[in-house]
Amino acid sequence: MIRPLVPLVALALVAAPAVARADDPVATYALIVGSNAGGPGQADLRFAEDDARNVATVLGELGGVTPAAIDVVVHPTPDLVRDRITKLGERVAADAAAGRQSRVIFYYSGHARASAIDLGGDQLPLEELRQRLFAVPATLTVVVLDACQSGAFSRVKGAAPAADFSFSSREHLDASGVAVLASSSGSELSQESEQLRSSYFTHNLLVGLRGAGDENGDGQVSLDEAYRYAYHQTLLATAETAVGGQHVTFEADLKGHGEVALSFPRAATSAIILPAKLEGQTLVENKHAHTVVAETYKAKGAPVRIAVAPGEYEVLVRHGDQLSRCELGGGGEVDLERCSTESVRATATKGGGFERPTRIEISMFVGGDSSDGYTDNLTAFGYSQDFLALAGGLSLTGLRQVTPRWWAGGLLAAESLPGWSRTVAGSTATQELSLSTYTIAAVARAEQPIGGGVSLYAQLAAGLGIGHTDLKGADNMTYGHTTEGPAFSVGAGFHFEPRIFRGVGASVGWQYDYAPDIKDLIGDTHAAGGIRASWSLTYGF
Amino acid sequence: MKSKFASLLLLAAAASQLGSTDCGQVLRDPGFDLWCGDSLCAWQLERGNIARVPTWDAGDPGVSFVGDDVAIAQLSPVTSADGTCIKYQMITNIDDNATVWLNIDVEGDGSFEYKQQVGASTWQPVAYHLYVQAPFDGIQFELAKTGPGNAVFAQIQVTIDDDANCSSQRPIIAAPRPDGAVCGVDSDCRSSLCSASQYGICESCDSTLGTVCPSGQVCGYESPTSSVLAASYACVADGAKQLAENCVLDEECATGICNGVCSTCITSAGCPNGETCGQAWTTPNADGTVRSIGPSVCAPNSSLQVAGAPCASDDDCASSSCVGTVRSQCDDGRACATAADCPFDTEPNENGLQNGPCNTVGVQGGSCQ
Repeated sequence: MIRPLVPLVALALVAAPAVARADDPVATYALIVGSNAGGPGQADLRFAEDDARNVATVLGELGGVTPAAIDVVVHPTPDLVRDRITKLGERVAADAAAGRQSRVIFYYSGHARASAIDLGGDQLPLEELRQRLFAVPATLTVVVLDACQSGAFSRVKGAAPAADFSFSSREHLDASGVAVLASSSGSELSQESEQLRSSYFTHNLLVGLRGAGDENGDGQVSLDEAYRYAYHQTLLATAETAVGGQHVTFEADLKGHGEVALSFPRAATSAIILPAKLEGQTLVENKHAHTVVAETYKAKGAPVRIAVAPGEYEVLVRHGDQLSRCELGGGGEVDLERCSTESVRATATKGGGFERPTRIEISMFVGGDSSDGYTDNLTAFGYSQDFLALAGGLSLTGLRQVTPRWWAGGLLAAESLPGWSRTVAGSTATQELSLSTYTIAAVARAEQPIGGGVSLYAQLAAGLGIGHTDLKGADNMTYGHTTEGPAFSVGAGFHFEPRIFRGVGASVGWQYDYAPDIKDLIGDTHAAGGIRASWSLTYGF
Repeated sequence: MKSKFASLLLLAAAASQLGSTDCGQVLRDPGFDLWCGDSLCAWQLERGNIARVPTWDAGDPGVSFVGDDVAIAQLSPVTSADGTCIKYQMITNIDDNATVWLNIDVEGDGSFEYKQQVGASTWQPVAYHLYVQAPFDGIQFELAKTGPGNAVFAQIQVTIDDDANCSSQRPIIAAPRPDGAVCGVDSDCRSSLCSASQYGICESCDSTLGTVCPSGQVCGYESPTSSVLAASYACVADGAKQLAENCVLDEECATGICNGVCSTCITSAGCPNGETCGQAWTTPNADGTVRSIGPSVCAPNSSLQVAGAPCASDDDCASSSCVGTVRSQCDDGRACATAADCPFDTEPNENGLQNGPCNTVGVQGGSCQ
């Protein structure tokens, strides 16, 4: 999924001291906006609002923001956003009047264009958003935008674009100014991940804030560290997708000196510690929620501490062709010696693109036969259908995943239809008719995961059908006849692909086929098909 | 002598009443699928020319009537014992300008009791019912086309149906029947004689009823004129039948001896030089019974007969040459020229619609060279 407007984090720092904890004299407010709704010509996003909630959770758990200071807005309208910014400004102004410094974090996840963010069918111009946010009299304002082309927002007055990820905010500490963190450049698209159930940028930003981004090991993740972590991980994760690499941008106009801390993972009561010697692609999954808490590449050399909520977690570490599976209850250090290890095929991408975008299916299907003018004619001519009037066949389907939910491809199928026969009265001579049909068709399939490796699918196919009959005549000669016609199929079913089998799966489904491709010499047509049950073996790679 | 003949006649008459169908089908090869070269194997070409043409599939042929006057026919052994309500279904492709008829000849004696025009059609199945009044021994179905236009028959399935389905049909009544046909009353017969003593068979004379034949004739065996008819009685010339011809009275035979078939002896006492009187030819069945009926001759198949002596086969003669008329006969002993002259198999199987064989068995009226 692509976000038409990228996340933009604009950090406006005004006379910023070090980021305050909850008990600091500096008040911290977070206005978090998430919108799945797409505007005209835009598909709905799937995880923007979830991302907003996750950001609120991490800021509450690790960012020192009290629940009362966190305002989460989903399904927003422009007026609602304006209203919440106004109220935020009033609270900050009250603090200022009381001599209390304040810090504001504004997060937006949703659709956007180069000149506005899209809130369903309405737009909020970036210029207006900028003006309203900067009008809030906070000591420090951080703006994070996760949307396509969100880099366009960073044209903040006076902001100096960073050259690359090596930008360090340390030299600007204690300076007032503006900083903008955006999920992509002004011309790029931002992407969501079906596997992460999040946008790549927000997921990596939050993993960084949970501790993976703590480069210097001081127990807190600074704005600079969060940016560098998000930059690297997002670029790595998106490099192999169809859309291409996504570059997180960071621009700031800061005055003063001092490190701006965004989270304090060391203060968390529960954490998963990846030891110094551990190396490999690492995935932390909440076992009960079945959600990916963190996915990161852990380099050897220094331990990484990832703060998590108390609970049970499974940590998967893939290195080369080995996969270590570690169970952790309530956090703790991953001890590879105590993890189960299995061999895997190194085919998965690191969160980029689709895990197995190509699938081959071999299917068997069985069903009945339909009655029509052709079969009525056979009956009139004295033929009788075989006792078990079953049709059955095999098909080979190739599919390519084109979006998280959609697959496209083609199929080849061969089907044998129930035979017909008759005995010539007054003799032992018989006439036996066999019918078969062959199909080549394009396939479009929608798949919706429903959990446990099971997906619900619906499929349409259309193409060319070739019908063939062989009639063994009373003279013992066989007369072949080949005709053609359109072929259609609609079906639905379940696809099961357990992770343990690495791409091998199975499907069971139902389909209705209609292929009027068998024709006789006197103008009757038989529509091969009808209702069929199907079973498939699948292999994805 | 007459008692033996009467038994044979009885059997033949009874057999003719059994009728024959194949799972209800009355006609052999109703789909015109059996071709012997350019001819239909099971249908008789009466007039004109026919051709094999594809119907719904090239492997399921039909018959095309070529020319302005074409007819094919098939005599079915269906009898009133099988049923009197007959349903037929046809699938045809007939041009508007073609005139096509289905003609019904009860008993197959050449007199058509019913004619129905078959309308133009393009492979559309049509069905009709016929009610044929009992009794009858068989029906000849004739398909005929006159005039221009194409006509193709793909199917004519004729089956026995429930009488209830013919309740509204006007009965088809057979014309006065020929000798050998079943009958109920005298008026059923052309001869006006329905013999009760012969289980309701039309015949031309009946000695038991005191029929008097013209001078020089006797009331003797009359061969059936159709495969569905039985043998009967008629006035025949005295001593005119040759050795091996069917007979009922000694007077019919030139040899003066009738043993069901004109013979030269009845017992060995009638043979010279201690020769044995025996059957000139028999064909044993698998169960040991004798299938063919042949004349009784002295020293059959012994190559003892001298030149000029009567014989029934070459093996009878010292010269190994018996000169006369080739004798062919059906399994029931009646003379035949082709299988079409022989009765149908009475078993309800795939041969039930097929005539029995016509086998060459020996020589009729022969004498040794």
